[in-house]
Amino acid sequence: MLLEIEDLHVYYFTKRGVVRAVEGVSFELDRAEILGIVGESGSGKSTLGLAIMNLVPSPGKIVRGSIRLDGKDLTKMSEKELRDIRGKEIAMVFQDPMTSLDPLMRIGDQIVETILAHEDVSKEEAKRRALELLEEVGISRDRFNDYPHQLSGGMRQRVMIAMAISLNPKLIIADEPTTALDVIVQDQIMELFSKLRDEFGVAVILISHDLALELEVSDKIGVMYAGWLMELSKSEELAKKPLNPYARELLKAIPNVELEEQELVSIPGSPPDLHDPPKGCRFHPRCPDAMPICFKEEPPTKSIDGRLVKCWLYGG
Amino acid sequence: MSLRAYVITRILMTIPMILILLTLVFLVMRVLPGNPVIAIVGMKASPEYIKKLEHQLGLDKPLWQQYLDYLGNLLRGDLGRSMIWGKRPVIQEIMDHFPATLELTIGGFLVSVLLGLATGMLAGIRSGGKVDASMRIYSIVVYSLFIPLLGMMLQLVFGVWLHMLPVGGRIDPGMEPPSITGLYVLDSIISLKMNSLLNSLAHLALPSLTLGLVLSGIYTRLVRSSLMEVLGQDFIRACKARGLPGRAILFKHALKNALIPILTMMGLQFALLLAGAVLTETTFSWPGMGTFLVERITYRDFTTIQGAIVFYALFVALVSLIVDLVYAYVDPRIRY
Amino acid sequence: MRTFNLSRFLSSVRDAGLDGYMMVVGLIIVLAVLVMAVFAEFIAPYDPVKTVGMPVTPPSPEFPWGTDTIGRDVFSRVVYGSRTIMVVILMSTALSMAVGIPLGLISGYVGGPLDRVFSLVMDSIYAFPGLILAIAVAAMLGPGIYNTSISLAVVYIPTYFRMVRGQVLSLREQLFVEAARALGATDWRILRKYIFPNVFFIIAVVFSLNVADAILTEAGLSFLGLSVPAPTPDWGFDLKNGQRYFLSGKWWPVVFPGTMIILLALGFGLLGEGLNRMLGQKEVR
Repeated sequence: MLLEIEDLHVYYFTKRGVVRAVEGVSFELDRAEILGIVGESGSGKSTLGLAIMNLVPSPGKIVRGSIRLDGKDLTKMSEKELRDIRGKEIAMVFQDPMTSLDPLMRIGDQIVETILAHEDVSKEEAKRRALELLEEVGISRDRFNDYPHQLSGGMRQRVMIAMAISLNPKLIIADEPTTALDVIVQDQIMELFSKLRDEFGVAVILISHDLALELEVSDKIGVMYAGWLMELSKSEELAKKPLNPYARELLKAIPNVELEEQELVSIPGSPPDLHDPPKGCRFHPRCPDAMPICFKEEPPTKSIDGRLVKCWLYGG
Repeated sequence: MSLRAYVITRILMTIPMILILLTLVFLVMRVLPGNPVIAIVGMKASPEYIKKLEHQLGLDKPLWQQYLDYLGNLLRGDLGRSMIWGKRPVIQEIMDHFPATLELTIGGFLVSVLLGLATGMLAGIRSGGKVDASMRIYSIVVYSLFIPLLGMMLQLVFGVWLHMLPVGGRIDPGMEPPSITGLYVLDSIISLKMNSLLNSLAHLALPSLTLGLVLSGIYTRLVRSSLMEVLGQDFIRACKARGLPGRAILFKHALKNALIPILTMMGLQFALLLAGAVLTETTFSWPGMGTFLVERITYRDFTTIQGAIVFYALFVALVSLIVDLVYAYVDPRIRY
Repeated sequence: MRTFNLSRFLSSVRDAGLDGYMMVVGLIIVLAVLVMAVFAEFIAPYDPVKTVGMPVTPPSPEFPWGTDTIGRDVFSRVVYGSRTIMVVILMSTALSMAVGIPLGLISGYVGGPLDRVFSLVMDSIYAFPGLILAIAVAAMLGPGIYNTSISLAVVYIPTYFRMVRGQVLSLREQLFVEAARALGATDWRILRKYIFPNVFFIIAVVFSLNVADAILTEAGLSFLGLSVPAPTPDWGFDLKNGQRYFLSGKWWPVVFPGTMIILLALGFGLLGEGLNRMLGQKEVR
């Protein structure tokens, strides 16, 4: 296994109290796999992405659990060791390409800088590779000396991806990489991820609020709600027969998915305030299948046919 | 907007600013209650003499006529002649004193920026902590330090007690380097005069430290808040995610971005430097514009006072123009 | 209007941490100097303008802070000097406000070309070195308490103008002003009922920070001999008088008035800074 996450808890210690942003999340990811993490905003999916890099912003902290990359636990590493992992073994692509590049530095130099930070190569060699990378992600070489504001949003995101793959990482975490971009660019970027998986065996964690997009590209999908991993299944299985009611409701909200009762609805209600989450199952106030026990106790995570599901429907 | 358009607009925008400042100086010098001539010669002078002097200065003409004459003369670069001591052209007198002020201002600027950067970064990196709190107090305290008192204290400690540095003047007599730019430090370097260089630097040390320390507090605040804002931005997190070393993130990325908004305020900072320089010069017998202006006020040398103030106004407008042009050069979002 | 509750006030100071303490320390300094200025007659042991001892006598039980270059009691001069600086500062600030605030209100509220002209003028004055502007005005007007107040006032008019105008611009677009206008309120009524109360607070903060600056400018003018005429006790001028004896070790005629200048500026600075953050405003200076 490339990445094994076990019982991960990430809390934010704010003035108002403790926010349990990620609680008890476990999953595994292999090489050349794309894992989609889907959820509404505030579901903890972005925090999960940052936690894998051990980059949870203050006042957040990983309070429990382990994140093992090739068997090494990232939560127990020193800042120096982590720095060698970041960028080199795990790379990250952020949501907003407009603000994720240093506005005062030429894009080529930013790629070169990343390479030089991790590898002992000459400047010329790094520049040669940066030019190749730009070409690889579909940006012409003469853009090397451009500043970020001279590029379109889609091009900037390609630069971010070029930077992400510059050191041949084993894993790329992409947090809403196409949310700020239009649909055509979105497809191109997604193709790029598929290509990386197929040709270089890169694993990708694709974080998005867009389940339809995830179903298209991901091999398996984790559904998060209020800091919990509600379900983890292969994409086809999830599309065909979601186990968790929340996953089912999410699917219903997508047009053109072949479910038995096809009606386009959004889930009523809104995600809970994580300063003070509901007792029992955190989804019960919005769950159409809620049972008495859901109001009282947290459901366990069960493994069913290689799928993970956290719901009382599947017993205690 | 292209860079060229920006530069042209910015230069054109300087014109109204200069006009307003010149008009302001005119208002202060000619329209404020108080007859400058009586101020010059005193109440006891004979009416005939006052009339004569008024005529000589053009003060007997109607105000609008005076105003046009004033602007016209300025346009020709004529600031008039001094009313005392051989009646030298005012512009020449200013040029004798201005380099000293420029040298002091640059020295004070460097000290304030270095101190301000160091303290502001200490505060901004870990906002909310003990270091941050002490740096905030530092910025308020140094700003309140009254320049003459601080200057005298430094003179006492470094000049009288430790005998390390001279307590006044620009350079020891006879050590002056050949006059090229008028800046002794620079002239010494150009003409390769090691002794003059060391001597002028030694004289420059305490005044620069005085002026710089007091104004550093402003940079502490600016750097702190700007750095805090930049450190919270997405691209800093992206830099961390790329595994760049913390030092590179701070200096190559965060600091550079944090300094841009500070640069835009540099014009106003420079005005504070000039104002502080007047007190610094008086404290350290530094023969610059400030000592010159104050001295001429005691002699009631009306034309020279007016000329010096006009010169300050033009200089301030020029500096603010330069700052904006440098900003355009540094920030690629304007340059391209 | 809430009534003042001391224990609630103290607990809010404690909650505000550093800002609270800065505010309280600043307030204490300012109040102490104010008391000194008001009750100068009762505090000062000697007449501040009379020679009462030998020149430059070191501090002793007879002259607690020593005597100055012509044998006047330094302590008494410092006490009376607080009155001079306080009067000048308060008059000049009142004058700056009386001009800057209405102009800022009008300029921000009316907008258009008038606003552009006003702003350009004010920005130009603001860009000019304050002390040098004050020197020019003071040189033309001559010495005196009123003239010094005017010289300082000219320097700080743009500060009030800019702050008030900025506030008005942001408030003008807000809903309650729109609503009042829709209900047919007159311009004057809107200014008076809705905008002025809202800019009142920002004025308090700007006032404190600005006074800190004005004190240093006044002391500077006075140090250069351009403030009040000679025998009047004035900190900056007294410091200047003591300067020529200072390096030979006679520190008291310089250090006492000088320290008072710093303390008073610091007091207003701390007060303004603390007030500013405690009331949750963005940085002003």
